[in-house]
Amino acid sequence: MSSSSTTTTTTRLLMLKASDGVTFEVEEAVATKLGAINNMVEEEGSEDLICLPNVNGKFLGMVLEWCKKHANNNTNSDKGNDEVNKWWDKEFVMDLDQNTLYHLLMAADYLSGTELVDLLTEKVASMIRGKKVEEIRETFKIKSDFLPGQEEEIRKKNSWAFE
Amino acid sequence: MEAQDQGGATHSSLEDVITRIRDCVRISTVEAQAATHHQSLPEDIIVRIMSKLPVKSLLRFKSVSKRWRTLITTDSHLVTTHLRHSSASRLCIVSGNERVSTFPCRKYVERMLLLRDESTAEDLEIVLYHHWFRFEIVGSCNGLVCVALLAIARTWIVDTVLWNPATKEWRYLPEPISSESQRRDSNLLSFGYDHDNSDYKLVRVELKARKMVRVHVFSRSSNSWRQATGTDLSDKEVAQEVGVIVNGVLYLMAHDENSSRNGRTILSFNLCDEKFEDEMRPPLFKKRSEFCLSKWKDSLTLQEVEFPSFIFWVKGDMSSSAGAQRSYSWTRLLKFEFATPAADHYFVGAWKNGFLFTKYLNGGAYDSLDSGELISIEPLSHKPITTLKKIGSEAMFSGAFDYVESLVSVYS
Repeated sequence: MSSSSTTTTTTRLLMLKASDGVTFEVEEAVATKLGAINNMVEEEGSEDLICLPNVNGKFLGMVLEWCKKHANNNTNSDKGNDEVNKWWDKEFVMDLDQNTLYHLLMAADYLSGTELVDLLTEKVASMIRGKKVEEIRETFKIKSDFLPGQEEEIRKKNSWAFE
Repeated sequence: MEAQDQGGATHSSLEDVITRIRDCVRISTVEAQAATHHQSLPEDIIVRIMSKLPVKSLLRFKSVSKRWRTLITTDSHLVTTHLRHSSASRLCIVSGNERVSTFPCRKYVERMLLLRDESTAEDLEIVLYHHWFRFEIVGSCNGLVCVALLAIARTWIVDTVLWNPATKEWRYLPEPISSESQRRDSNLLSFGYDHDNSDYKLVRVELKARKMVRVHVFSRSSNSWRQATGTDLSDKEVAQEVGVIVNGVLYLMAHDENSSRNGRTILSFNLCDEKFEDEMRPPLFKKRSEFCLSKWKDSLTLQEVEFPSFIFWVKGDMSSSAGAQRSYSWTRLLKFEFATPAADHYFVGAWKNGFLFTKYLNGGAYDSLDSGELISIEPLSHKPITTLKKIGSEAMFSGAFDYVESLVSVYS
């Protein structure tokens, strides 16, 4: 791995402005890992300041942190790359609480960070797979809208799934 | 990336500190607001989460709300994406008999096992249990398992059933309209997926003196049988009552006196247009060897058997991926010889990277029972033989089928 392979691709910097005014200066190669930003860059061309009114600075920061790690790891053409990414992804989602996860997911979705959405939905799935129905309602803030008796009926049909 | 709100010790002026405090206050109010609107996770995100859940969880979550129930029961996008995710973990269904007593008479119970990995097996509840019937798995595809119910010492087909073991949903399939014989040995059954029409199909080839008389195809989407009429039936004798479906094509081994390949040829029937296609030559094998077709890693494979050695062939060239399937050449993968003279090995099916064999101990005519062991031969591995976890003590395995858990319904 000589240094020649990682030199002169675009090191253009983009300015991303979050809903709360916090700005981030990011390399284009990092920011364009997000589909939404990639589109904006392609459409608007020269524009260097991108406003993201739907994402809060805290979460934009986290999303960009993820992008940066992945962009860096992808430039090394190592075989162990996937492993590194996987390990890092695991670290990234390990201690996320429900609230952070929710906001990150919304941010990643808004920014079309497909891979990140994948990672986060995987995390949510692993957190809820064993949960009871009542816990799901609480987690997703859903109220049961079944008529009396209706829910019982559905439960009865798949009673084994509740064991 | 230079995150300017992270400031760092180098330039944290008073202004920075004030900005950060203000940000913190603002973030927490935004969070508080958002928390109350938590239900607003967009539906496509919910579906993406659902697609990564086990079937059991999803069936439970049907009682969360009307919306969730509708999504889980009817969203075809969810069924597809869920299948794609769960296809990453290949499970295996193994069917067999286990001897439960010897005295005063030999008694067997039928068992169907689900292998989640090489060392975890659980019993599958046989939903259609009936004292008189025996089961034969016809095929397994995208989480649907097609089972034939057999009677009178497995010689008679009583019914065919479509079953999703993960959702426990099952149904009887209707009878073909004009089938003459229900004998097991005069019917060739095969179950698979027709990619072009996104349909699940059961092919039933009626044989008379081993020659094809009629071909019926049951389609899940039309929920009916139809006779494949637009195709010429070969007058060649079918060599085995099992066919193998690979990428929407059913392959059958047949006799052909004129063939230089040990008098064999391979017939192929396309599930999409329900027509026979060009015959295919098997690889050139030794005069006295037996053979068997199977599906391994989404390719058609052929095993040449000359006890105790097995030669594995794969259709096409393993090194070039796309389009190789249609090529007529065969590649020899591995020759393997079982080095245990006190046991016989029978092929039961292919799973993951391996071909599974069941081991019979040679303990005399009636006692040559299986040891409860499954052995996997992996042609591409450095160490081609692995013994899976022992299942039962005196079990005889008849078939092993690659399986994935899915939400795919037995109805259209």
